[in-house]
Amino acid sequence: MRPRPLLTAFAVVLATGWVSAQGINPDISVIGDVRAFVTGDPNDSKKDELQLDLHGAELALGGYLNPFARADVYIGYHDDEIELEEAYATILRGLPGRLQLKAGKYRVDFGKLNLLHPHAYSFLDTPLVHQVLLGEEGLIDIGVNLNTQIPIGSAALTLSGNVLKGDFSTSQHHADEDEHAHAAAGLWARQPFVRSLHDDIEIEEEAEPGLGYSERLGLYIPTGDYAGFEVGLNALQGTFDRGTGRQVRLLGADLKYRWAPDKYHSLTVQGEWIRSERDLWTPDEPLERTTASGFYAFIDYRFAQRWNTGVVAERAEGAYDPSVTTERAGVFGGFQLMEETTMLRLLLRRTDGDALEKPVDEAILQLVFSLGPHKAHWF
Amino acid sequence: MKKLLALAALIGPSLLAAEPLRVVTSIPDHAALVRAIGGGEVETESIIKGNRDVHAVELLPSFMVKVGRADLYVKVGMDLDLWAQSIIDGSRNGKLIVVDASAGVEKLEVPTFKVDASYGDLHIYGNPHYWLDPGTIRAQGEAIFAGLVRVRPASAATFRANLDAYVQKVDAALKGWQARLAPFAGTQVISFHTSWPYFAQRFGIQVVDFMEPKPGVSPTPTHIAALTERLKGGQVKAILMESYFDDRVPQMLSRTTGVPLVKVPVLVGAAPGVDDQLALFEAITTSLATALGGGH
Ligand SMILES: [Zn+2]
Repeated sequence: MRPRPLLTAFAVVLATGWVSAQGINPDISVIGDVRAFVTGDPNDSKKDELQLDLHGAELALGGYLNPFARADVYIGYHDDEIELEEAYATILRGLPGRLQLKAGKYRVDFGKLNLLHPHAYSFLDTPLVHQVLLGEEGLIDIGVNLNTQIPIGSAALTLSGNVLKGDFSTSQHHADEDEHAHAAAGLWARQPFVRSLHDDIEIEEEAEPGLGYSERLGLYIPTGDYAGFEVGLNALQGTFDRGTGRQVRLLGADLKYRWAPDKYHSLTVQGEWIRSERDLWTPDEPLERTTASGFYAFIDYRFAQRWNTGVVAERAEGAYDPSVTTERAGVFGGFQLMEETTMLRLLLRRTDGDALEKPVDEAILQLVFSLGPHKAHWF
Repeated sequence: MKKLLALAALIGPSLLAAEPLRVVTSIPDHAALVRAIGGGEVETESIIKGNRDVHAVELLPSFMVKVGRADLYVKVGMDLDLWAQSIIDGSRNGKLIVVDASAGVEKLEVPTFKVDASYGDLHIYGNPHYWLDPGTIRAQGEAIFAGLVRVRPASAATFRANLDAYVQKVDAALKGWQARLAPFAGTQVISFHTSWPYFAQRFGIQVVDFMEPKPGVSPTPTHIAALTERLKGGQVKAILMESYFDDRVPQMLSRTTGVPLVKVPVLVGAAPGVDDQLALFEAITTSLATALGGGH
């Protein structure tokens, strides 16, 4: 357990208590992700046995600072660690040029899916291509975001830019450092691919990341009162290490279509493709650049008020070795017990790749519970 | 040049006045009320259109665009349309004036205990379905009137006259609806969702149970079984259901018990021809009176 995030967490909880005592209650919600799973991963010591896991828990606090601004804090528990996942303030309205300003630590708007916390994913886990090219839990960094929306008839063009501290570029390195701890905890059972995609990378410990920049252009076009699609283009430039000048560049394109004709039916078709270019650390030699890419796509269909089902397909090349590819496909189903506050999800999936001797099959049953005020769903 | 400026000064204000006052509302009922009060000076649109569930709305970017251009937003309030706040935030509109149409309404079913999710989707400020009582039109209208006047004080007199005229029309019609439902005073009905306390109080109907075991929770087999027994008892005269719900289970319940199903719009625009409050309550009254009267 890392002490500093824990302290921060306590500080936030104490501050919240104080604020509550003042009569200004922020909204508090708690989300838990409990899993039972069976994996065919030969590297897992409990191969083909039923295993249980508290995959994650999250405490979310949020509220308005004034009529035009709000603050949000997310504290997460994952893999026996408590971490400050996000903490940011947003000026929502009142800025010139219909601008919104966000500052703090937050999930970066690189693609549409990265903005969501993984417990909202029908297919349970962060897509491979995000894990490999964006970071273990997606792209999260400390930064400043400025965005605006330009109406074009009933369509909406969103332009967004971020200046990032650059921590995102090291998050994958940390994944490597933690590899043994993960393996010991049997956590690779759910992620047999990541190890293969990160093998044999030499990371110099003193790497000092420089500022990063990311941009998004999204166009939402309604195709009916309750249907529409959004196309997005994303780019990111970062510096892994200021000393050697090693850089990373990401380019992404995403598409989301959603149709929700009534209370009982909806269809989501969504996908994203990302390409990365990064400089390798090669002592005594000029920088060598490697290119990798990947995608995910899914279809999610709600066929009754409390039931949904769908399929997901993914592919990712190793960030540092594109010849190592991993593919994953799954079918999923979800069921709300009574209300949306308690979700059961089942995922059957197969992972195959160059680093695996044979395909790994997994079955995961997930229970997600959420306590706290109802949150409306964003497109 | 001077002449041109003088001309501009002359035309300017009148052009400005011709620019419509833009209002976005959460529900079409409030859009109808805005139209009645604002007349030709307003352009209004509702986020919800047609036969939808007010409790759950997905936040589409096209909503933000609409509200981004608006002068005034009318909320249902009482925490029913919490989603409206996200739309307002997403609109980036710093000049937007927001009014809560429930402000002057006398609230029913305000919980006197600590509310949590074990009670279902219960609202701490009370039952928010106040717009289903035509007697609250005045209170809703006053809140909207105040908002419109803040945006365009010069038109206060016109707005006031329009509001009074509309309330008078609804009040006159209300006497008729009350007269037609008077024979059924004290009659027991069940409803799908708890949308009806304001309506029931106004018209003397008794809502004794719900298809939903708890507000927002869809019917469970055990609950339906219990309801079936209750309906077979013969005390309950109708199953009143909001038209945005799936009617398969209520249909089945009606068939097995012989209690008539009354499926009615609960929002303006939820059925063809239901374009304002007058048409909405006319439709509800007619359906209910027909079903209840048919048994006699
Ligand atoms: Zn309700």
